[in-house]
Amino acid sequence: MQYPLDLDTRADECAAAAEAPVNAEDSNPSRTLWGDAFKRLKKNRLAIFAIIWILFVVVVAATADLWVPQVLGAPNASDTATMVMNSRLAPSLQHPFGTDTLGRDVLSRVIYGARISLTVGIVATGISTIIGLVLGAIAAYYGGLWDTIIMRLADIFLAFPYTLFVIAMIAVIGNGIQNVFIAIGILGWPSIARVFRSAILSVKESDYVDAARSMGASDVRIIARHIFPNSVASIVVYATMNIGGAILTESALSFLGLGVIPPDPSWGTLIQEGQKFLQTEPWLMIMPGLAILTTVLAFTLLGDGLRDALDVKMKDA
Amino acid sequence: MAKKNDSYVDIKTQPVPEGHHLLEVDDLKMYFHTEDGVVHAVDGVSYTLDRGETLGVVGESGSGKSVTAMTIMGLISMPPGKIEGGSVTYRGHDLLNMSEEDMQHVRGNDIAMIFQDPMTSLNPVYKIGRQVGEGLRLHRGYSKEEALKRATELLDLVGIPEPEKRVNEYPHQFSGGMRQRVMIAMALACDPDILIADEPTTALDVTIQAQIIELMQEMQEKNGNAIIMITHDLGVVADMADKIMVMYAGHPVEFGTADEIFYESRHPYTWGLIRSIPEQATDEKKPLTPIHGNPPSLVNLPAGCAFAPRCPYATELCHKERPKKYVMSDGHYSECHYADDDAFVKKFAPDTSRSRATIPAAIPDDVEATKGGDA
Amino acid sequence: MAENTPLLKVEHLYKEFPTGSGFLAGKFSKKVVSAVNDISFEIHAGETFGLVGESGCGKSTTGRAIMHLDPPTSGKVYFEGRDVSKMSKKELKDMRREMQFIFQDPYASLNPRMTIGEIISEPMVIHGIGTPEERIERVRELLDVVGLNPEHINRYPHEFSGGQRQRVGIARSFILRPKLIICDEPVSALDVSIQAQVLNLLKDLQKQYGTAYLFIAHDLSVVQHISDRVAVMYLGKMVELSDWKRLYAQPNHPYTQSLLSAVPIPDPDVQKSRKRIILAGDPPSPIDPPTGCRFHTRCPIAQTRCSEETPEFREVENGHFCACHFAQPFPIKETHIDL
Repeated sequence: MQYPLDLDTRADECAAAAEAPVNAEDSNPSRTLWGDAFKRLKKNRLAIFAIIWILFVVVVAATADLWVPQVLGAPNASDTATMVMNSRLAPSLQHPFGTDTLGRDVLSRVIYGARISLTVGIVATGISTIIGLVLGAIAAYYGGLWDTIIMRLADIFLAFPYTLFVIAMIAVIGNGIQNVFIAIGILGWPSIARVFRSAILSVKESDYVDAARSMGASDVRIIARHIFPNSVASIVVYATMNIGGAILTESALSFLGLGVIPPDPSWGTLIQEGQKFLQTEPWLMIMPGLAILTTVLAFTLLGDGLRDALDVKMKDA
Repeated sequence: MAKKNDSYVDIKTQPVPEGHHLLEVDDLKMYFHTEDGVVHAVDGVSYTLDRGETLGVVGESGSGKSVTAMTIMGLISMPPGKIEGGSVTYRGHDLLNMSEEDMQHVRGNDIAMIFQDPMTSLNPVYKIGRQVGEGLRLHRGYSKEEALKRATELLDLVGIPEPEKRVNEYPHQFSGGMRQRVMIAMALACDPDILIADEPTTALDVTIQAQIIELMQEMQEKNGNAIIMITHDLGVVADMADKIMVMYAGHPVEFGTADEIFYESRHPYTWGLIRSIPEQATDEKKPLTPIHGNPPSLVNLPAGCAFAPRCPYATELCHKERPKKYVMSDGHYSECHYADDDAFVKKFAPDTSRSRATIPAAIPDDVEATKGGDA
Repeated sequence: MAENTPLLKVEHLYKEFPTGSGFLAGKFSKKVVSAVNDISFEIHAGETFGLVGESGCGKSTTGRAIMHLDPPTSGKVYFEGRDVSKMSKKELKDMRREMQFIFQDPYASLNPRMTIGEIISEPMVIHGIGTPEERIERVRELLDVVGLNPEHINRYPHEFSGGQRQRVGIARSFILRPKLIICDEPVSALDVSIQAQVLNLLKDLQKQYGTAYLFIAHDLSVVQHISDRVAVMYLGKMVELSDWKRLYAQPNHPYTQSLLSAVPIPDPDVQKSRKRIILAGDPPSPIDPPTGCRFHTRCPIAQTRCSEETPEFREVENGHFCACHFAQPFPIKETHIDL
């Protein structure tokens, strides 16, 4: 196993090696590592699918105000006059995902739900990542007592069942979309801090950091130029996957009625509303369910693809 | 774990067919098909080996020396690897077309292998005794107790103190040199015909390296097995190899007895390797003559001789045409256009202790090999 | 600075590591790894000082302690006559302009996310030397000197082979024209033919710039080839120190003798004609080093005195030091072998 890989690398290295003048006129002589990573990512078909899907969902959700109400009807528009007539229609050309009990177009509600789910995913992950990065960096760089305190705190956080912890927190600060951001965001930091800490620790031990120290580089320079660029890749990967997790948590909260307040749609509330009609009008539940499934899967696949693409060691091994 | 198949006959007990050698590798080609193209890892390797002989395979990293051995053992995953030609015959049996099941009997039982890194070649969760005895249980159908007893004997044989105690220890309790001894004990457990050692001493310190080489030679004298010693260090094979194959970019560029390689070499790459090693001189320092440049990519091999771009004597012919094997009467061969040009060889080959008719007295020789005092 | 002040002077250097890790380990664990134990030597301007020993003998730790990468536990390091441990942060930084480091692993010692231009010019950036244009000019010049194509200034380390990367590392260490470079096993990760290239390069650069080297390696032939004086270390102690000729012609310490005899020589006739001292066993752990002479457990001529009394590092001949009770030129007499 190891041998072919070795050879492959070797051959690759030799091909790139600068000795022969032919190579000097390489088609792309100054390719960067991020450029290389992007190249590798492009070769990963699953990751490309994931990117296309995420972009599609983002674009549709972002531009929803421009066309959804006109084409499908407003997500919260419930007109008592037409309500009965339009209640729980099967999918059709006019209502591709059917309609719900109140006669609202389900596709329209799924699209507006995407806005909430994506925002929760990204903002909550953003909050976790910032907290995680700061605490992870402090623990790793200063070590000693700081490390012990922060990491034991992380252990304590991780020892609680996550969803229960979030529910408890929502119960304390009240439900509503901002509080969902805060609860998921704040409680998500320990794993990010751990990943970042171990990434920094391994980089910190590396020879090139020693090299920088031996040249007399300041702490700030070492962190900014050497440690951060080499440990951030793992965080990019982890955060990408975390977005999917946050979307799931938000759905779970909304399903339990602790997240988004109706009539605002979120994928979780849609499923919750639809579950009563699973026997008779299954699309009410299946369609938002599919939205969650595909989107979370897309973030996971993208994260996987990024991990492979950003792994410099694949080149060095 | 499969029990030994009773109907199976050990190949090593069968006679070598008349007119053949124990192991015959003929024009072996192993290519890897990768995204970047076809890697010509092994490109036409031929040699023969008899019992009691030691073959040294010398080359730089990426020269295909390890892949050759792995191919013989059937350890290359295919794909990406693919055998593009040639044959490997062991006691008249074709190893390349053998079923995986039969190959499993050959591995460890008839042909055993020692790897470079003694730290990762042992499984950290099993006791040493169990790992050493595993081959015996697998190939010989030993019971647990018999295998452990034999493992203890083997550890004693390879010079591990207190073997009764140490069979019950785990790999992390052993030092690097001790682990390599364990690896040798494991490899020798089933009394193999051929022992392939892939850089067995590279990861070890010089004093430990000397111990391990001595041990391998001792074991060979006792068991009469053949050894294939893969290394990048010409020094290591100088006193242990009977024959040496020098590899470059997947090709065997020169093959001959140790004396032929060190004193009558006819290939500029071999000369370059010899000249690259700092000499232990005590009068004055001679400058090193390195081989310039880097090994070629195995994907885009030069059209002519693979060594031509780095060869200080390369001519137009060398860049254009791939040299054929120039075989001397006694099996010594060299893949160089000018191997048969005596004047060329005489002019450029490095000085040796023989050509100078002096054996440099770097180390006085009236000292007995000693064991450590037990103070 | 007086005319004869050595460039680097190391006095009674000790380096101990606590066993275990974490912030409590150092406070509660009494056991320490005595990695370097009472090392003293001097390096003069323009000289190459070789430091040889097997893995775990403390040779790399010595280099790192001198560089203050891991400050020594005790002992003094003087650079150009100034005590390094008493230097302020600013002075330490200035010292690092004059003292550079070359690492063993050409793969790990270059930041994979920087171009080789950025890597080589980093010391200039850190010390605020030159304008960006001057730096680029300097890097191109140096790339040419170390045998790389100056056009490749914007490439990344992963595009180069091991030998080429080591050239990048060498270029980086030379860009400030330091007075001393600590080379920590600079060629041991390279193929033999590439090793010779790098060794020749180091020699050429030394000729050109007059830099002194502390050359740390486990390979005696390599060290002999490049060094003016050589010191041999065993288990944290210096056991022998001499100029290269005498050390190889008349090694006095039994460990040096066995090391020399263990080096494989690529010449079958020589190899077969010489007798070798093959040491038994492994080097003991530096956590619990043997009493007396640390080598006595493996020494072929050890006597009872050796386990009781630490041998003094004494001058056996002019400029030739050896730490052995029975130090005498090779060969060891049979009568000394304690049976």
